[in-house]
Amino acid sequence: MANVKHTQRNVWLGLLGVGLALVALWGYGQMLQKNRVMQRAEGGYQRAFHQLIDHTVNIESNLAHLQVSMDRRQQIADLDRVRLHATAAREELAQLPLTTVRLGKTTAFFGSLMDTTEALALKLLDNEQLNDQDRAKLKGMHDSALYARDELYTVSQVANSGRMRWIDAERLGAYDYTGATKNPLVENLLRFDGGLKVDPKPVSIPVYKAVTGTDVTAQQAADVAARFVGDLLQPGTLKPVHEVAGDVPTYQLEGTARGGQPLAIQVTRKGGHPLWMLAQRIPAQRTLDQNQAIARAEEFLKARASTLDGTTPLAFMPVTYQESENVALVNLAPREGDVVLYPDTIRVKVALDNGEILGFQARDFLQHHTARQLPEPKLTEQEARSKVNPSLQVQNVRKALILNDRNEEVLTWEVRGAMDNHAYQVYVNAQDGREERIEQADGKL
Amino acid sequence: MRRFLFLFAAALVVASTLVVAPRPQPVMSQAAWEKDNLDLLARVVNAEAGGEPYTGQVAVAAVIINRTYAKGFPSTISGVVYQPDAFESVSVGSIWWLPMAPTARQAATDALNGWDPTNGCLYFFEPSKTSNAWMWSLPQAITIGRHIFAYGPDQWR
Repeated sequence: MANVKHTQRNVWLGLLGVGLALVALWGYGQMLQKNRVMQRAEGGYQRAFHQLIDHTVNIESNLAHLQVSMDRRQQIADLDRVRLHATAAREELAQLPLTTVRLGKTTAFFGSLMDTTEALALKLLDNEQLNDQDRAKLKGMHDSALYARDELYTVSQVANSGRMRWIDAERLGAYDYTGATKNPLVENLLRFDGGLKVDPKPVSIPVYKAVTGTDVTAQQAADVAARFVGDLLQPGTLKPVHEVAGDVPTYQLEGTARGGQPLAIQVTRKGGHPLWMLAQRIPAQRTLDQNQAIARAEEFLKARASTLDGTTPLAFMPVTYQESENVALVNLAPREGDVVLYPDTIRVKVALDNGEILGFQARDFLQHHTARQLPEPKLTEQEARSKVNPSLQVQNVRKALILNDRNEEVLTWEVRGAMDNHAYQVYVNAQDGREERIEQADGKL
Repeated sequence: MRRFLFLFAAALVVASTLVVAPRPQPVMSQAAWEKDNLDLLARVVNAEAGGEPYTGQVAVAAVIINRTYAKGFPSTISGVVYQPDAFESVSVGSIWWLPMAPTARQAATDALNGWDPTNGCLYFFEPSKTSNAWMWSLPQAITIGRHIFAYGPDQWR
């Protein structure tokens, strides 16, 4: 009897021992695995940092070439390479685990390299020469690039010394509880950032040309919003909830739509212009077709055209149509004479089950719409047709105001056609016949 | 013991199918770029703001899009989403396993089409979970649900 008990206990102890050994083995395996994963993450950070240095080295050497080069072709190629490497450097910098570390000058440096080199390359492509001011700017950028190259190498020596890994910066955080840096990598990067010389560039805040008038009160904004939303809303439910700052200060108001879902709208503080409206709902089925949905959007906008900028009622025409989840998105642009004003586009969302308006958005309109003096086109429609690729089967041509790559408004001929079963819109400058832009917009009407 | 091991193994297999990330569908259309971005954006919106009011969901998507235009951030949606420790849901992986809220996709679509309830914000945080003094020092725009939305330190100066 006693022997059986003993044997039983030994069996249990044995099993326990084997179990412990298994757990220990499993734990060791887990640790090895975790180490591999951590090393892989560390490798990714190291790679990002070394490539950041590689790009900086390339930026420096191309900027050095630009100091002496007199050949426009060479200069354009060098500027383009600087822009590419600056773009890549910014992406690599963003992949380092430095979420709470502010390297403001470093990002501004790469950003200004991108902007300046693009502007200078475009200038050279327009057959202009680099002037003394451009040369001085390139000299300043080269000095900064030299500094960046050498100082980043110093930081990489810290990283390579094994004293601190990027992954520790991520795990332990960059700062201690007093706010001091506790990581030599971060400390060196911040020192580098502090010593970098960058031309302070004013932040470009978007201008809202159509936002005019005197400031309105929250109550006045509520009146504007109630009139604008009209019968989409259950009467008396609209309440101002917030003031929002930003590039165009607004009041946000919320209410309940006819269907019971919440509806939000923002009205600008200056002048009380409706900026956007949203009423979320996913329609269960689709009963309206494209033409009906477009008609609904046009009708909605026509009834409100006079409230948009407080001046002349505008005639809008649909320019694109897209659908997702039984909701249509219709973009509408106003016309001036026979010119389509694309910069002033307004977006309207239509529910495809009952035609309810689910959204309205006038940010582009309020930024760009203004009384314009449109020039007379120097090119005729026939001349514009002759400028596009002869293989493009032209379907129709109309006059359009667009924003070009430099964000300037230009009058163009919009030549629409197809080539190899792809639809294209080619925008030919109406004054000098140059291709301003080529697009392949989805759902172009 | 063997039965225990078998059960353990079976449990592991079941668990692994639960946490395996769904494979993206190959998209061959012209708008593949946009669809790919929409999928990723909708997942982050879902994980960060799935239970939030609709404008709060659009606002989270708008912050991600605003970052792609800002100097201190990557210029692509995936770059912003996968910036180390930028979003808690990406760091812990919940963007992949949380069930999709029915509105997340529409919210991401609206933000891609230009709706922005925050007027250009670059940050959002949960006040109850954030002790980061720097985050609190940012100029705030609006509170939607449990998120505060804020501008960058010198965005409008």
